[in-house]
Amino acid sequence: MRIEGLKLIHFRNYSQLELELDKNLNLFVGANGQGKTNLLEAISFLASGSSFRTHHESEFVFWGKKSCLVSGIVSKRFGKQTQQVCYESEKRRKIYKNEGVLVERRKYLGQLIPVLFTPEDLTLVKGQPQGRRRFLDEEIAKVSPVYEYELGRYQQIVKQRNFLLKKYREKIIGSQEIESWNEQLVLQAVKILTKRMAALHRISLLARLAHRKLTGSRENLDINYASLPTHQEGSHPEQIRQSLLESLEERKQEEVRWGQTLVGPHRDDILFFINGKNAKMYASQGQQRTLVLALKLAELEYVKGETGEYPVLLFDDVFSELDESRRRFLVETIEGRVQTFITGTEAERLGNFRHAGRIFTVSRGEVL
Amino acid sequence: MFYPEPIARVIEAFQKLPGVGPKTAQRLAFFVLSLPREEVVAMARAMVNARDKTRYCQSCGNFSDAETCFVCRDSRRDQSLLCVVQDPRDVLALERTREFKGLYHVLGGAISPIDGVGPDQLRIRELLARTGGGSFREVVLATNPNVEGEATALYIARILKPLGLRVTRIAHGLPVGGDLEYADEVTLSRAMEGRREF
Repeated sequence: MRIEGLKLIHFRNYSQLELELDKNLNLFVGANGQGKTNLLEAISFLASGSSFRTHHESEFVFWGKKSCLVSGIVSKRFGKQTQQVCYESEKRRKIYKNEGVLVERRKYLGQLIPVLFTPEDLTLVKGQPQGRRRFLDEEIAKVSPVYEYELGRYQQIVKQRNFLLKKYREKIIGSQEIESWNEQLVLQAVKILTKRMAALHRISLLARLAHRKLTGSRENLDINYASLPTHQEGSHPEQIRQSLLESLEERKQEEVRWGQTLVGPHRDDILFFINGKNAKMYASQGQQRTLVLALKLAELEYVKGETGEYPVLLFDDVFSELDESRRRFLVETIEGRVQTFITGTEAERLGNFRHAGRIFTVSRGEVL
Repeated sequence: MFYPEPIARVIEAFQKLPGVGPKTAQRLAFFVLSLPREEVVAMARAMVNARDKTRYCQSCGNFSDAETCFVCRDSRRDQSLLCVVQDPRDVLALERTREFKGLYHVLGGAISPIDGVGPDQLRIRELLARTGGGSFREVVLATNPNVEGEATALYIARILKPLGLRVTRIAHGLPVGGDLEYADEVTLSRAMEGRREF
């Protein structure tokens, strides 16, 4: 998929902007604080109505205005379509349209899929498990329209159950009530787990391949899904269900003591191993960077495999941080296949691409 | 805004209605003021009257104007089939189908720990008392398909099944008359999960 044209109205520091985009490579160059990342944010806003930078949606809107709009012409294998998202800050609502016709968010999502690489991604390996879970959940949500709903439902069950555990601790209710929630918790957990394990299995194979190429076959990357109790990839859902139920039974006392649900996918983690060593403990800065790059490349292939089409790739500031050989590999992998958007402060450091693409100079909310 | 005291009170009162904000409340208030006095009195009386005369059916918990509701009074209904719903409005929805011939049991909500609603806040004890007599052959759980409704259904199933009752859950899936291609993904995937032997 490719974005042919992009239009911003009152989005962030852009009052009014129309861009014709290159189908392969687009560079946004300029000093800091001029609005380069805002353009990448506009693309992710166009894709899903949300941002990778903030949950404060009023920030989207140009100072003093009441609404913002991003629209884009997205071309795919089977033709092109104009899609747009509008955010109204007074009513705090978003309006999604295809070809000018109102559509539900659920139907709108997944038409444009961005894969994003930002400096924050570099903390994926050593950061909190939460970040790694979010990474995986976001990947699945990109290709599975139902996943976001199922995950929301799971989180709702956990929330209700945690509340119940606290009440039980204070002896307000009996244990019978908790048991009826266990059934539902486990049922929903199985759905999340099977999806997560299948997706991670695919991603890990793809990432291992990319990682091997990035390191000249010197390093082997393994990615494991870590959960308690441990589930084998390809386990039958009924097996997973049983082991979760047993685990809930075992940790009953502990759960009541903490007032927290301690079993289930909301506690799981993803472990990376480089040549058999746990990357969280041992990976150097450079190794982490390579690992995350391999993951991002795997994401591209994963989306392609699941949807039949490459996503668009957004690089926020990270590109210039990669060394020469990694950059060359990256360029070879994506050039001509994946529409890429890169932000950076200097044009010359981005010059690995054979085909120049289009370079936009960004300055104070204007693009030249 | 500075309204005379009586008008301000009416606006305030209308704002208590669900889905009514300050603007709509103001519009409604001015509309009421423009009506003939008799109509306003009739409206007010109707509300007070409904509030006074409506009570809950002693047997099933549905809205009623007598001790028992119109369903429970009807001797032609299947006395061995019981449908458990969350709300009196659900009874009306099911009645509109004219297909269900059994009796109802209205819980008055769904289990939601966060909102402080547990089995004791619902009419579950009454349900147990009703079904304990052995006159029912099947209990259909027709609570909403969301997390709380599902939890309620599971809870009830757990206590009714040991009594030897047949406990069933209404299916969720595709709206009838709609085309498959227009169904949203979640509904469609649920329908796929709930497929049955043909």
